[in-house]
Amino acid sequence: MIAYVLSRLWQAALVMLVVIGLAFVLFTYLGDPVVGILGADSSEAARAAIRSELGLDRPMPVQFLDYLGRVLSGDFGVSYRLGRPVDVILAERVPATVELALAGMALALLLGIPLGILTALRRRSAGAQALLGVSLLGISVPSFFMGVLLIWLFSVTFDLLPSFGRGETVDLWGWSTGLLTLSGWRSLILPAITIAVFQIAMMMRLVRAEMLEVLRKDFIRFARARGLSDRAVHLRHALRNTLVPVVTIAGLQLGSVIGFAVITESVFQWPGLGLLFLQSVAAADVPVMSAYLVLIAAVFVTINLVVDLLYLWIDPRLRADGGLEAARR
Amino acid sequence: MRGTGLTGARLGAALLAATITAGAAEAATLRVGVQADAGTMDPQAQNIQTTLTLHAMVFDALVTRDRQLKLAPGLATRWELVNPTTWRFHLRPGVRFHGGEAFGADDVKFSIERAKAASSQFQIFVAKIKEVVVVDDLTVDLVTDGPDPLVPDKLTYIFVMDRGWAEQHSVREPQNLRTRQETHTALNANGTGPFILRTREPDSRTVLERNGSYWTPIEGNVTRVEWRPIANDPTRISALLSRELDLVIDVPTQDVARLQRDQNLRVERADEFRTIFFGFDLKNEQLKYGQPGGGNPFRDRRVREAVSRAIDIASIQRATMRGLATPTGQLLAPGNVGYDPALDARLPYDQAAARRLLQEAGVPQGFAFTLDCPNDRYVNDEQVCQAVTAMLNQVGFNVSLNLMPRARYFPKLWERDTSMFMMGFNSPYFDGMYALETLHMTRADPEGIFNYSLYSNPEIDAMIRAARDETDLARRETLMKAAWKRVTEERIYIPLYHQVLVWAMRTNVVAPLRPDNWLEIRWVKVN
Repeated sequence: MIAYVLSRLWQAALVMLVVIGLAFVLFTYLGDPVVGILGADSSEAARAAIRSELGLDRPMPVQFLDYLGRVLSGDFGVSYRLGRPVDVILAERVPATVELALAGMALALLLGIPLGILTALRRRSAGAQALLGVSLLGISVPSFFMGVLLIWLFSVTFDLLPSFGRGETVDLWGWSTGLLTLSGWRSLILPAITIAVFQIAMMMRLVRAEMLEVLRKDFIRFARARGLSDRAVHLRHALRNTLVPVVTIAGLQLGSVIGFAVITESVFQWPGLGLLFLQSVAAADVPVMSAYLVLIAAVFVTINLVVDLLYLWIDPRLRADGGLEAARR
Repeated sequence: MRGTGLTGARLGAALLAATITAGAAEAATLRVGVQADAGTMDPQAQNIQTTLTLHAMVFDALVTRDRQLKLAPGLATRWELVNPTTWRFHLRPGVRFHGGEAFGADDVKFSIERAKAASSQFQIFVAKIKEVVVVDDLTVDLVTDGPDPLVPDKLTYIFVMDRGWAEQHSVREPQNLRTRQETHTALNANGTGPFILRTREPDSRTVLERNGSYWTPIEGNVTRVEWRPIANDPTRISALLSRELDLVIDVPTQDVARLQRDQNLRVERADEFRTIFFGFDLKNEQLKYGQPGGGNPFRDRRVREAVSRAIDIASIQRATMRGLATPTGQLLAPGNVGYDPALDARLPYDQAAARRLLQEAGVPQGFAFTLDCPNDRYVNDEQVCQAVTAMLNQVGFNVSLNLMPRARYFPKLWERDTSMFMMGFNSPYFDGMYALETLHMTRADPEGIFNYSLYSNPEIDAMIRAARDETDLARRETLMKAAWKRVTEERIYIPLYHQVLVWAMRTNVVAPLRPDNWLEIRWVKVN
């Protein structure tokens, strides 16, 4: 098991290296950071001075190796746009994104799993059919549109909830949380719903499909034959077996919710990583963009690792030596 | 009983209303929504209008403007020309920075020299100042390289920092990207201005409170400013509609009509000092992005005139810009020195005349070339370029449109790597000399620094230089108008329109709109 974790860590490191390389190459095509630093109306002399100060006048491979060396030593550089160290900026933005992502995923799990079970068990009822229809809508409405729609309804028309920002935040040992103030909670509602709509629909459909699959299995029939109650069959036997893929997907979705909160964050001016990334792209703020991509890659890699370890915990069959690999095949 | 109760209730309501009104008069908060936040609190690092607007609340310049937009004393009480190349500024005594430090000549010298640093975006304003001489603690002499009658105008952009504070926090330079440490001015500011920076959360919230010991009475009644960047247009407008904001200073064109219908809001507009125009490669014998072997027809004035006549500006104004554009023939907005109403009329839209001009120029079939445009720099820049592309194709050109974000667009212009391009030019300090000098003169930085056409005409250079170096203001204006007439008739550039500036505010807010898009917080009233 230790060997397994180690090999996963090695793979993770490799993935990260590739991501850093890709990020670097990609961003050199995005534009010239000097536009952001000096503005469009600058003199050639000033531009040359800044280029040499930042080392932008060196050959690309040299710049890359230099960058790689600094990233490996934990130095992500200074944002061209904000004039502050990138790690400090990212650390400030992480809490907003994490709270939004967790709130969204909590909504998705709390609503998606029960609804999925319900629609699986009562699959012919009109209610279940209607829910499935609605969930299709949830999957297909773009989050940009959903966000604007919610703002229009709840902020402009009914004047109930704030349309932007995070409300008042409280600083807890360097973690700024919006969860301890009323305005923080009020501000969280609309973005969390926006980010959760797709996830709820997907969770529900996933749980339903898995549940239907499991309910057809022999061991369910045997369980029923043993005279177990419906409740025990559904919740103890069927649901538990349904959860393996659900945990995987939920984990990966948490990663993607963090990684792709860009749209939701920009609609609600939610001061998280996604908004930061979007504004950095416009300014060709390469240090921030690269660090962001590295961070998001790290989140995905970590989540994958955790999900694999959760498998071991949920499914006793996999705990046998080499079981995971065997089960995968 | 009943009557008394009612009276009591009425009295209570009246009292309450009175309290609220009085409270509003004494403590008024202004919540300002902007599209993009200031990138920094450093007063010399970012020359972007939104940033200037925020910084002007915290900092003062030596010279400011009054309601008629005429120069007015700021940190300097008066100034005079000692000799043609020396300006003397007398500083205001008794002024203190927010941190308590006394303001003096040392700070002025420091700030002007700081604006000359390589990483400053304000170099152009102080480029002609050769030396800053501290005469005594309240007098400075600015020695210029050649006569410069615009020194006071230019200094309205140079905010004064406290030297001691800047040195203590190692921010001698506007942006220091070498040290890999946090630049103190990214989040902190110590000015003499009407407001004091209290909270700075970039991209989220900046809170300012009124400076109780400001050096002059403040006309407006705002005591607290909440600066709220909201990047997404629909959200920013929704926040205004849902009363979470009081004032939005960059209203998207598509929302203006809707906001005007709202009874709780007032929409104000003014011609902005930003002219959108097209330029051409006027140097190369062969267009880089044109027909191989086709030469460079743009060097012929008649071809440029054909381009101008082929553009149906009325439909661009109506359909693409939704009325928020004022068509112009001169690359300078009204209100600037050198503006000439006679030059303002565009050549009429006339496809037949355009075709005839092309025929005369020897390219009756038109020709193929690439038009470069930014897609995130000016209001509706992408749509305007698409419309113009279609219009040019109608008279025989074969235009390929090349759209790109500004971070790629401007480096391309800097390299003069273009055959035809779009640009917006903002004339600073209410004077048309800057546009003449930087856009039209033969390139020799700072002359012709934005002359991306590489146009060169010694005769025009001489006309502009004569106007620039003239210290008699009346004569200067005459010379400038002559130069503007010449460059306009030469069709070096094809001006399209001035952008129209739109602010939307709640009806209880009075915020005078300045054509340079500068929110003067000292004038704002919240009723």
